[in-house]
Amino acid sequence: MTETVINGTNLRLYVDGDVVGRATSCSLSMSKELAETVHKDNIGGWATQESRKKSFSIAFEGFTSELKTLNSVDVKSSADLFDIFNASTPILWKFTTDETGDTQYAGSAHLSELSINAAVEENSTTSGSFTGTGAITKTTIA
Amino acid sequence: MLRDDTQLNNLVAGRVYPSIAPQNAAAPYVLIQQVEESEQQTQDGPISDGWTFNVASIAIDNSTVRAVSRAVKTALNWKVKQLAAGNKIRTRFDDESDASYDNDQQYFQIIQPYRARVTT
Repeated sequence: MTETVINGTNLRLYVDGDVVGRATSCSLSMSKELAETVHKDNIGGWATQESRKKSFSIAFEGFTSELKTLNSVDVKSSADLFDIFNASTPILWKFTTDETGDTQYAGSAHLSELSINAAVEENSTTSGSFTGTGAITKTTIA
Repeated sequence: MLRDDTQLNNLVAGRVYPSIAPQNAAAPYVLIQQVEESEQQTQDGPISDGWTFNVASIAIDNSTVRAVSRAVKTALNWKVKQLAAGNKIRTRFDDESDASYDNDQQYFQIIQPYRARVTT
């Protein structure tokens, strides 16, 4: 288990079992719709809320790379990400340090946005975001 | 790249030196100094973001130093070179400081920063 604050380098986005190669950041965002409940007995005029629909998205940024193996580990290249975008099926993702005892978040999602950016004499970048389908599961890595 | 350039060699006769010129080196000559190596961090480790290096053109008169610096620029600006390791690099001109006269050394000098990065 990680005993200190998790280093962002180690918290990786896995897509169908492989990390996104040359990633510089990844994020998991969750949101919940709320419905305001107003009734005659609201204390002091304060609004109250009820939980409704939950959703999530995952964003990533990195450098454009054709490599399918980095540091002896299989990774998703930018071309792999296009294939995922082009397909109509959702992928399985996990957001994890892969360290025993740490919490892992996982689920299913569609790659809904993908951008490949190329500026003159700079490293080309790839970014995108997944839109979740279904629930997020939270487990502790055994 | 500079040593292979005919136009430049016609001016400096092969006197292209890394970092420091030999004592009593005949002018004109050219000095190359790497200034900075840049990296960018990824979750898989660092990747190269290129190199910055200065090329100093040195001559005993203003017109020669300008001719040498122009030849250097022609040789290095937006040029691709295959390295022995298999990678290619592209070099490009970045900026230029005006010709200054060094009273102690009694020469004119133009310093041009260049950038290089791996290309495909």
